Amino acid sequence: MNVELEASVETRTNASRIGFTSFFRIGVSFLCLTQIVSYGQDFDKIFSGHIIPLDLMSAGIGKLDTTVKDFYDFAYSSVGNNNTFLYLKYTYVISLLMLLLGILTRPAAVFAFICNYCLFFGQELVTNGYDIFMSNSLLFCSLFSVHRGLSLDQYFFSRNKNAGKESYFLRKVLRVTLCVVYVFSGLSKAFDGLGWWNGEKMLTALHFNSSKSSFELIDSISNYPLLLVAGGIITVLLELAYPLIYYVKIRKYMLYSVIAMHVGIAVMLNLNAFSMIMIIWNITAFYDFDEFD
Amino acid sequence: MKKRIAIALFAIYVVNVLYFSLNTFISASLYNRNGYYYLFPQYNSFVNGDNIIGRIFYTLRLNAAYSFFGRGLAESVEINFNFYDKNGLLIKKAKFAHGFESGSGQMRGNTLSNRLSFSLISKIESGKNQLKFKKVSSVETHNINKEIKRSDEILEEYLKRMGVFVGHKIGNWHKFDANIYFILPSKIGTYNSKGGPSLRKHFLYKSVKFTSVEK
Repeated sequence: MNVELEASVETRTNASRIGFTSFFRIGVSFLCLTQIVSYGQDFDKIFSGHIIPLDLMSAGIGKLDTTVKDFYDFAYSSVGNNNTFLYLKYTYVISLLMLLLGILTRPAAVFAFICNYCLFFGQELVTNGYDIFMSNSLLFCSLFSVHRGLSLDQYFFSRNKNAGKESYFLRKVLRVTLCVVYVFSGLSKAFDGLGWWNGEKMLTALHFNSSKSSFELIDSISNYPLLLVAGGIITVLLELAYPLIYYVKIRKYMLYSVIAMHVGIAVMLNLNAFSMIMIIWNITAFYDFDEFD
Repeated sequence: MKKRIAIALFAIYVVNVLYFSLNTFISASLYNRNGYYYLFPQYNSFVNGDNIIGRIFYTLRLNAAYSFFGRGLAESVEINFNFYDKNGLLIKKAKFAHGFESGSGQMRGNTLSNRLSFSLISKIESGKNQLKFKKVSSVETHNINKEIKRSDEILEEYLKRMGVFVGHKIGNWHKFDANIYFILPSKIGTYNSKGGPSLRKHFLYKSVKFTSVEK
């Protein structure tokens, strides 16, 4: 009887591991692909130093990541400026496609991480907060075994259907990082004057959105100051209370609340990629994948 | 053995993420917005230095500080470009972001223009404050003035490049000017988009005219 029970628990645990690791891999690679495709022709204008050359950029605020700078210096001298970005872009897209499908998953994740790092992360002037999460996600795909389950690697090459036990570290890392992110963001907001408590910062944040369609929505919301005050206070409290998500009884409610907050950020602030990556992290870290098989 | 290494790496990650987030929070929210407070300055300089340790920490994001979300959005700078024809008539008002086609491109464009101008303005203003409020020697005064002038020149160079970039989509313009604004929040409940005062309050920081630039 005990043996049967243990086997059942092991199956459920394994299904859970496969569930969250494959969800993370597919979610991250799909989001990165969508992001790079969404730039279209703007990509070259922004990232290749077309408008502001990289040397002038570093003269302005004095920081172009040294590793990236060394890489560019080497690549420029080898294949030229334009080719460097062309090759980087295509390598990035191909490795993301391979990661999505689970073909040579780990090498693909390593290449995707390097390309992402050189393209998005080295240039401080165009780097947004969510780039850290994108880059970290690809780093985690390189470090943890995310290739088992829903992957061609698994289908063709591996007879081992068990997710590696080390994959649980992925969940631990994500959980700790998310708690730190939300608690310190909440603390920063709480101590940042009265702005988050009286709705002013919500209003200023909403102005960050430059999309015309959302602007009308924001405009109408601005006519109800109570909504802004409530939105600010709920955001601060939710972020401060985030570690309570460790309590299984309220986990589901906390998770749905945080996801709702990020959907709101996507709609109101037009920060779609940031919201999506945070939702992926939250689901991977705390969603109950036990039923997944 | 493998498990022990994993646990050790996990512990290093957790300690560093906590330390740098706490450090940034104390520095930015509790201590002083203009300076930077270090809990353990030697450790900070050790892991942020231009050496192999620094590179590993930066690449693996071990020194990432996660205490800034939502704050950056509230301190925005805006640059508007006005394009004129040969007769001096205003053809078009545009932002740097309008030079891009995609939503993602426009957002990065916003980030680039705001961050560029904000960081350079901070440098200029910090220099001016030093000259105004601190007792500095004549050599230091000379150096600070030199730095202010250099930052101002770089800012104008950026504005020119950005203006020319946006100008490609405008068409037949003869000259343009670039205006940098700080955005201040309006008081809640006192605005109305339909006929009322503007949703945004602008504080003009700098205006530069570019009359003869190569397109």
